[in-house]
Amino acid sequence: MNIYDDVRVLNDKEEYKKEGVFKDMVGRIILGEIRENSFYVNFIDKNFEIHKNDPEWFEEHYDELEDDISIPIKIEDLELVKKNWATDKTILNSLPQNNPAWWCKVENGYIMNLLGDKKNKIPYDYNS
Amino acid sequence: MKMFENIYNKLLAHFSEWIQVNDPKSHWTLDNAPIIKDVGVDAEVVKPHCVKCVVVNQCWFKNEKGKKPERFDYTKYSDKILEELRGIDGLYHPHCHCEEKAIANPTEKTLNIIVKDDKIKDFFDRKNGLAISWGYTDADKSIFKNEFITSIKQKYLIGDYSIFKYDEFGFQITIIASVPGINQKQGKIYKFQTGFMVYPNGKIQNTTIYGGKIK
Repeated sequence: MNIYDDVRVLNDKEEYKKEGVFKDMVGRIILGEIRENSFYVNFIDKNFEIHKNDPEWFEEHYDELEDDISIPIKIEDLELVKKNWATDKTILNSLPQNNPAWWCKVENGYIMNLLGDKKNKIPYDYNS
Repeated sequence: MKMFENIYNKLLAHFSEWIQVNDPKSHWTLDNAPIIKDVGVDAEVVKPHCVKCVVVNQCWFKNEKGKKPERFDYTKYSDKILEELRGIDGLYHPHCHCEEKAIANPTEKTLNIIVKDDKIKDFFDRKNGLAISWGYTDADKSIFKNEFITSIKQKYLIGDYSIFKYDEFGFQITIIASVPGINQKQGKIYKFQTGFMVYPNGKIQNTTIYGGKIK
């Protein structure tokens, strides 16, 4: 799980709800770095997917489109839905000062950086 | 020399419309990766500086309410509490070291707008139908990127932005982009909200190309 991957929200939380994000919503990670054990996730109107090959729909219904929602979501509240196109080079390019020490991906229950370091001691316990 | 510097700073403070947030006691900024192996939590590494001040340290803002971090409102506290806070009544919170320093208005040369190709790819990937409805096909990505950056530059230089969100990830702004239609949509202008993160020293980096329609 890293930047540009599609992720699902696993739990309802007050801080997500007040921003309009609820359990089972699917969004995309749009910032490379993990801060405070959270990824920054962007949620878009479902019509973008439904009508992706229908530009006329967007001409007629543009005003009905909901704005994006972008908020930090705790890693423990996310699951990977679809691995997309980002490579380690893409991730590195997206990190502050292209520093590979930033925590930036989650693999097998570990928060990791591009140097191979693991942040948490116990897999899936992201605060360990 | 010091005298000329003082005069320059006074003139700047009088005529400039922009400020730089400056914490003279902290070298941490959003750009210098406050992380340490096995700790990794920003808040622990940057102590005693608060994360929200770190993420705006050295950043440039238009000196207007709603375009920069909100000053701490001390007026809602009782005289007794205000007495206790005397001397530690910082700009953005008690104990805050941040100052707002007048800077010269940004120019095309001093401004650094970052729009990564990944973001353009992500836009054409997820919002393909909308891009096509503006006349842009996959082959027109670089034209779109140039038009987008030109539009952002014009808006940002006059301080035409609003605060989107200010959290531990940084200070995010919304800019209304105006991109011309091309191909069969030539002659039309499409306006939409786009998101940028503010970085130190005049850098802004796009977080999402199309964030929503104009209300």
